[in-house]
Amino acid sequence: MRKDKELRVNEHPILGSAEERPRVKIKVDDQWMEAIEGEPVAAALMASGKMVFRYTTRLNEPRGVFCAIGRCTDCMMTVDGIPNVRTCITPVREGMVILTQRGEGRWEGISFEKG
Amino acid sequence: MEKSSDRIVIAGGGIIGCAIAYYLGLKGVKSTVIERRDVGCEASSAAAGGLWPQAESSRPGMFMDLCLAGNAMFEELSRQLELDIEFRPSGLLHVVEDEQYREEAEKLMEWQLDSGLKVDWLDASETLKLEPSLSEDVMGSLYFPDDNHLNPLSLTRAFAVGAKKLGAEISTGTSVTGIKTVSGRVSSLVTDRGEIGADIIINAAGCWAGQVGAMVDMEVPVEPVRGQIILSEPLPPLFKRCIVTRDVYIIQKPRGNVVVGSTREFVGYDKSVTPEAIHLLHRGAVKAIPRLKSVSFIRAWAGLRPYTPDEIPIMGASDGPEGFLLATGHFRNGILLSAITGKLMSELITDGKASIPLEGYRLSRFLRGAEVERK
Amino acid sequence: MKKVELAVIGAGPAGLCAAIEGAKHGLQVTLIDENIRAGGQLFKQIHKFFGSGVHRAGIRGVDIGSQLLDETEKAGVEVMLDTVVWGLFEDKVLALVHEGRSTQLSAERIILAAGATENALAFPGWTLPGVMGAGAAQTMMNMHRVMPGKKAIMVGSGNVGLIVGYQLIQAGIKLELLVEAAPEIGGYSVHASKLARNGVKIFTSTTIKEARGDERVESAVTVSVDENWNPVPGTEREHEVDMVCLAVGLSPLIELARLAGCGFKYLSELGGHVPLHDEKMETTQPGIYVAGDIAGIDEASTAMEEGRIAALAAAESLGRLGGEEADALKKSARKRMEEFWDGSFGRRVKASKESLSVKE
Repeated sequence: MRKDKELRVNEHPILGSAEERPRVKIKVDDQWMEAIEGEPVAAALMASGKMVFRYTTRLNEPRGVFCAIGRCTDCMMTVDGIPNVRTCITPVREGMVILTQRGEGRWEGISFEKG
Repeated sequence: MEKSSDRIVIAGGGIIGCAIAYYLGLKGVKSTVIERRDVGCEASSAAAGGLWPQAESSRPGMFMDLCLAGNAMFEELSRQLELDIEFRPSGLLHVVEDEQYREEAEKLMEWQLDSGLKVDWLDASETLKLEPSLSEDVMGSLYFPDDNHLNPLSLTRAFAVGAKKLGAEISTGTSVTGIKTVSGRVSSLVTDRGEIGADIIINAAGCWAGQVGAMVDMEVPVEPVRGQIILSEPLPPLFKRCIVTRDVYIIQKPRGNVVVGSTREFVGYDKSVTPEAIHLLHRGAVKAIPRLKSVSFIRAWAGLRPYTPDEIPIMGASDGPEGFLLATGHFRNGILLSAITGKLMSELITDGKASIPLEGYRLSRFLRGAEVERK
Repeated sequence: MKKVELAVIGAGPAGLCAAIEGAKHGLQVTLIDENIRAGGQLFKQIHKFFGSGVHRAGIRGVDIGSQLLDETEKAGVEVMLDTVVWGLFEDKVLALVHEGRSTQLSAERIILAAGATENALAFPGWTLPGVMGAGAAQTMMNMHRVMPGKKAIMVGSGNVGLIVGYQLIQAGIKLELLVEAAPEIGGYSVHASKLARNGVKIFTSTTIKEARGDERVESAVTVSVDENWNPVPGTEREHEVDMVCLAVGLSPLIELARLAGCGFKYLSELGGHVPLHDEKMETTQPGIYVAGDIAGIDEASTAMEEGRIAALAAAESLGRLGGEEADALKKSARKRMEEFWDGSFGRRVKASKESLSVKE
């Protein structure tokens, strides 16, 4: 995605101009996109215009960011194969694979190593 | 025994009290349940919901038969009750991890087969074939196809809702404060919200049965025993059967959450959870099902179960005032025995006689024991 | 099991000040927060704080945050971030989880400064993506510099609603409308007039009835309410917006105080169930203190003073501070709080706080 299409606050009367920060690549539902190093997954997705982070188990309703501080669990997604990750408090990492979660998620990538 | 004009009051709105009200209702008899807080808010809702007459029994006899009879009721009951009680005919695997334990398991299997019950020994590969999530360290398992599970909270509510529909009154937020008698008969139950005339009072107060008994100068030897449980986040289906090991039991509930229990602690009325117990339960679960290591456990709670010295419930008439009955002390079998207790108590009240004799469950067995000891 | 003298839970304004004050008086302090960064909500407060000079008034929250982090480091406080406190057991044993590993920490004194959570408001469509807490919008805009939408409606005219409303504009989001169910604006008029100057419509006696949209908010329906808070039929209006911000109050995060067995009182002025505490901020559980929003919703300025008072009391109880010195320091912190409360809002808060005293 082009940077100028991102929903970023580049200019701000109090915070000033946003400084250029290093970027990482993340994969969201099979599509690669850029994120700013260290920002939460939820922020990166919201900047790209993505609003639906998951669909609920029983009624299949869309959910997105609600509290943004790790309390409400509305923004949970499957991150690197682990479902129910609170994306608003999970920083992006280079190569991170993020899936819109349906219900409880698929638990595919989880490392079920021996206890 | 019961006259149509009899006023029946049940002290305790746990699963036992609600089941009695429900079965009385089925017989067209109205009753009033008095509950200190809310329906099923103590042991009934803290339970994991295992229905395990076979895996949990150590010997044949009267009590084992009662447990089997109770268990046999749930399939029909799950159709009969209006709410979904999440009854799952799952079966149970009693996992054996070492040689010594295997010998115990073999003895258990032997007498159960002699009693005509279904139980199978599975070797390691058969066990893992049935439940591939189990640890490969398993030596084998006893398979009990008729031990199942359900949702104890839903069952309690279903009994309460059913009882209400059949005319029972359930008075929550009401504490029993006293019992009045007139010439050796109960006459009323006194609560913090008024007095209720009663011809029959049933002490179904679980861990608080001692306090209710004391109101008629009766010693009811029921004591709380704490059990702690932990619960995982919802997971996709990991295993189907109830898993019992030497350390823990593990059930995956229909919503996907995995329940791991339990402890047995004599700590009075303290319902706190402890880090040690949470750690032990978690370790036991991961040992049995290694994949649980990577999942989050999201809740821990403790419940108090009404323990009696012989771990067998106290049911039926008492030697106290006439009209004062007991149905308490179900310890670890309250959910399993709820339906049969409700049925037998309702029979005792309406017909004067239960279809399974309750003599062996009378309170007086403890009084006799006490006398013997004194001699 | 690791042992510390003072464990402070929550590294917002209250927790940071408590940790600094405790360390200043010689306590071995561990400060724990579940976030990857300390500062709590300070770093999204880009407006200037109220009060007088002693309250660091006129300084923006974000700058106070930086100052406090600096002081924390200098004071030698051990800071554990990305660490969730999932249990508080007998004898002040804390259960922590960090990177998937659970450990225990035993503390002689504990200060609970867990803060608050935003209240939600239920209406048809309230779960749609695009409906969010005002604080959530603030976090996205001011901390992560992301726009959570382009056109917004704000629900609630308390200071949070008014301030965040203005911050939406600062971030380049159009604030279409602000609604308030009460007949009057709840927050300071200085904030409200800023919005008015920017052409924002403020509708009082009006609430949100519905958020509409398929996969996200596409519009919001407002409705007037009568003096009994009942919707007035026929007054519905649909507004084309893509975000709905809820500024309908905060509730103290009291889970740990509950686990600790603290006594509580319900006070709607302070956000709900609040742990009882005395003037030293000590709860009904000896050695367990509260500070900040957990002790009743108020401003960051008073949260900081409460953190200091709690730490002073903890230091005093562990013999690190003479009674006279402790009293003098607590008194001056208390005085700064009283000065801060010297307005009509503050007086209400103060009265509620006083009714929480354990001594009653």
